[in-house]
Amino acid sequence: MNAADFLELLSDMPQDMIADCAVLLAKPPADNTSVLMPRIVSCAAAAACIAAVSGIGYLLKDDGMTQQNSIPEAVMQETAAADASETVAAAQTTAVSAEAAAPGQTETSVQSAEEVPAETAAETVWIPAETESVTADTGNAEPEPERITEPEITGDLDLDGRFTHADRLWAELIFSAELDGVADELPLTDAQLRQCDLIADDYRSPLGEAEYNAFQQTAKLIYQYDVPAVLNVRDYLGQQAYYDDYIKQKEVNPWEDPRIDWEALGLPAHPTEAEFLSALDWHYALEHAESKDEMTSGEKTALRKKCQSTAGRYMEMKAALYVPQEPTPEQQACAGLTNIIQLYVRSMHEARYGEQAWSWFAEANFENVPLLTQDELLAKLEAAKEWNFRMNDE
Amino acid sequence: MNDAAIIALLQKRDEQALLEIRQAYGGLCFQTAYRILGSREDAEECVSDMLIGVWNSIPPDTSEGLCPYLLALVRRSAVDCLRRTTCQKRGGTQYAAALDEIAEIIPSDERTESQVERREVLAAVTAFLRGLPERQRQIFMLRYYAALPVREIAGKLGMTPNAVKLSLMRTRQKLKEDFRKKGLL
Repeated sequence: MNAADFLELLSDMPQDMIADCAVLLAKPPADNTSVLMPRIVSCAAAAACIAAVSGIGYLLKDDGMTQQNSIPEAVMQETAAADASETVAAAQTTAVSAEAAAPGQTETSVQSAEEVPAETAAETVWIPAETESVTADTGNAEPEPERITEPEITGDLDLDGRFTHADRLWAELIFSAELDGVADELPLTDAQLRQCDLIADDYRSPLGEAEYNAFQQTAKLIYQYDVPAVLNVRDYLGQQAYYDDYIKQKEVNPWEDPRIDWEALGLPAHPTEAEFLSALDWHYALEHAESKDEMTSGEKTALRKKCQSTAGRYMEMKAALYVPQEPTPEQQACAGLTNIIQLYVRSMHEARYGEQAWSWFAEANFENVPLLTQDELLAKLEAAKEWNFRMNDE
Repeated sequence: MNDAAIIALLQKRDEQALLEIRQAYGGLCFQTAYRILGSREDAEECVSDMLIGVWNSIPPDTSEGLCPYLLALVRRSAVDCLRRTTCQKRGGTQYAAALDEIAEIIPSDERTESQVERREVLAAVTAFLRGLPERQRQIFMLRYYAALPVREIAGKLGMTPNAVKLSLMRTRQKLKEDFRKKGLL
């Protein structure tokens, strides 16, 4: 049997099952499909946000993106203002989306500034009144539109109103689950699924690879490259080429790291890639040695030891650059989720426990995250593992 | 005119019944056929076939109402037409998209002509769908029986498209597992 056979067979379904379907087919669409309704965006917030983005542009142009802590004052002020008012931040992010969104990126339309009510700070969607009442109302008065405010789709997977490290961790979890084909077992709410729906149309996947990468890149911009925290995934996607270029320029090759004392390692002060590899990677050094074919085994051994020694000292220098720090409050807050992801990865990628175990796992962890310690989570996982082994034995 | 009156006309072999059916259910049947075939002419032809089918099956089996019976007729006709013209390969219709989705869980290329096997699969699908929660079953039927686009299903049920997609994905996975357990895959 193939898929075509299967769909053909459905024609012979019992009548009672078709009856239910027929009733729904004849039914008009529900009137609360807010996702299809036009969005109205605050123009003032758009202007403010364009200023913020321009500020970052100014930074890039001005100092060649070599100083990580030189976010212009204007941008910092924007950040502070946004921190002070979540409403404004939400409107800003909406505005960035509207300003930078590529055609086809969103199914909703952005309306002009004239249509924006003065009091509208956050995204507002317009919901028409009941179709029946519109039809019945033969008078001239337009039915008063009902306004509801709903969360903007910004990549806020944990639904706390902003894009944070936790959202990146959620993305990681959902994406890993998707790769393992168990994403549908995750207890995601409709609101979270909407947050996943940033790029669009691969409806087999709550979070596709492109979306996952967008989460990672956005987090990288905020947590590694000091882009103000008002940035969200939708903003990133709206200006993806720009931000990717920014990251590319920020990323430094290992041999270009100015914090390493290269001369102490016997290299020029500014080594090239070839010099770096020849000094640290003995396979590379041997491969590129001029007298490679004439080298004795003793000389090869000496080369290997020299490279290993240099590499060892290089690693020590690198390690010395990283001073252990206390976890930030945000990292501490995310510890539960980090544990879950680690456990999830362990259970799915390594042990392959199976669906039942995952259900237990999801139930145990997502329902009671703040209540369970890591040891308790591990105990649950072990129980699931035993259960699964027992099932396999049977 | 209500269903009972139409059925009464059919039993009297009054051709007015067909006009009444076309007026009451023609649009719904046409849309169903059109979603499967993606061709206006073919869909019209299926509606005509459906009317002939009703006429030839007097008294029709309308224990669950006239509409489900008509839908079953028009869908069967549309699927037959699709098979004849092999137009599922041209893609672009909702039916073709639904076919792709089902192909994920039933990857075989081999068609079956065995009526015994078909009856067995039909019984399994029916039992499976009866065991689903009502909402999940409705979504499945709207998508794979009526070939309705995800967004329209969401609109009808007051859900988000993503929730519909997720429900479909879950149901497909469950169906796959069910078929596997029953040795149908």
